[in-house]
Parts: sequence; structure tokens; C-alpha cells
Amino acid sequence: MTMSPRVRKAMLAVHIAASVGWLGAIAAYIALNVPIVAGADEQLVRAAHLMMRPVAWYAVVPLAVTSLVTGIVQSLGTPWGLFRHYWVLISLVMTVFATVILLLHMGDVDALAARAADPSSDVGRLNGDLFHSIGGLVVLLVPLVLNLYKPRGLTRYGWRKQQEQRAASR
Amino acid sequence: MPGWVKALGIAILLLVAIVVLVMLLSGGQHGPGMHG
Repeated sequence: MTMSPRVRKAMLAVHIAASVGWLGAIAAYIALNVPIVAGADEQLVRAAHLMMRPVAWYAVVPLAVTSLVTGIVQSLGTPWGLFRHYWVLISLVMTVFATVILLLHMGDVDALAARAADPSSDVGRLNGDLFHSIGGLVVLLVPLVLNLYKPRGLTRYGWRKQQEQRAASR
Repeated sequence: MPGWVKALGIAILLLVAIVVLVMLLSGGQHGPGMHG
């Protein structure tokens, strides 16, 4: 099913806003780790860990899901398709991977925030969460570049579909 | 398969191998529940 140009543009605007917003939210999450890595005082370390939770739940997760869903809708509603071009397929795999890891990791984000909220907990065990946030940023840069350059290359399925369309138009 | 897909695949495999190696060398302090 192909979307009308007006709907396609509106959907593209939402997809770009969500995807760029996702990267921005991760940047904010990484920024919260800076005082922890820099060895700030106990209050700041606890506050940074507490703030990671709302940033993750109310910015990173909704933007990730919106980016994934609008990306799938955008692919299915245009001639690009979801499995026809390597750049679309790889972008999909990377985005699904990043979203699944993010959702699996949210329990750890909650646990870190709970520990930071407990004044009796050892602040030395609050080590931040740089690994996943930087990893997420690196993973998401791949679809970003692929979506900008759209490098050529049809998958087997895409090639077959193209042949079918050519045969049908003759 | 286009050359850029193969290059990207090799780059991703290398990156994953480096991450796994670093995790193993640092004692495997990673995974769900490690902060709990």
C-alpha cells in the first residue's frame, strides 16, 4: 500500500523528529554520566543517577518506539519497501536491535535510580551507565548515515519484486 | 551483495569482537541485573 504524498511527508517529518530526538535524548543521558565519570561529589552522583530514569523512560524509550514504528510505516507505505533494499533492511535490524537492548536495559536503569535514592547505599557502587548509552549512540549512527546516503543495493527479495513489476508492466 | 554491505558487516563483526574481548578482559561485568 502506497501512501499519498501528503501523508508520506507528514510521516517522514514525524520519523525524522523522533529519530533525531532519540539521538538527542541519548546525548542528554550521556551528559548525565559526565559528573559521575569526573568524580563529582556524592550528592551530584546520586542526583545524576536519579535523573537518568526519567530521561530514559520519558524521552529515550518513547522516541525509540516512535522512530521504529514510523520507520516501518514509512518503508511499507513507499516504494522503498521494508526488505527490498539493503540500506532499509540494515536500518531496520539496527533500530530493532537498539530498541530491544534499550527495553531490556530499563530494569537496570530503575535499579540504579533506586540505589541512588537510598541514602544508606554505597555511592562507590554507583558507576553510571556509559557503556549502553555510548553503544546505543554508535549503533544509531549507522541507520542515520544509511538513511541520508541511501546506498544502492537490492536484496534477493527486492530483485525478485523488481523483475515481477517489470514483467507486469510489459 | 554490494561491497558496502560486506564492508559494514566486517566492521560490525570487528566492533562486536572488540567489545566482547574488552568485557572478557574486564571480568565480564556486564548484562541485565549487574546494577541490581
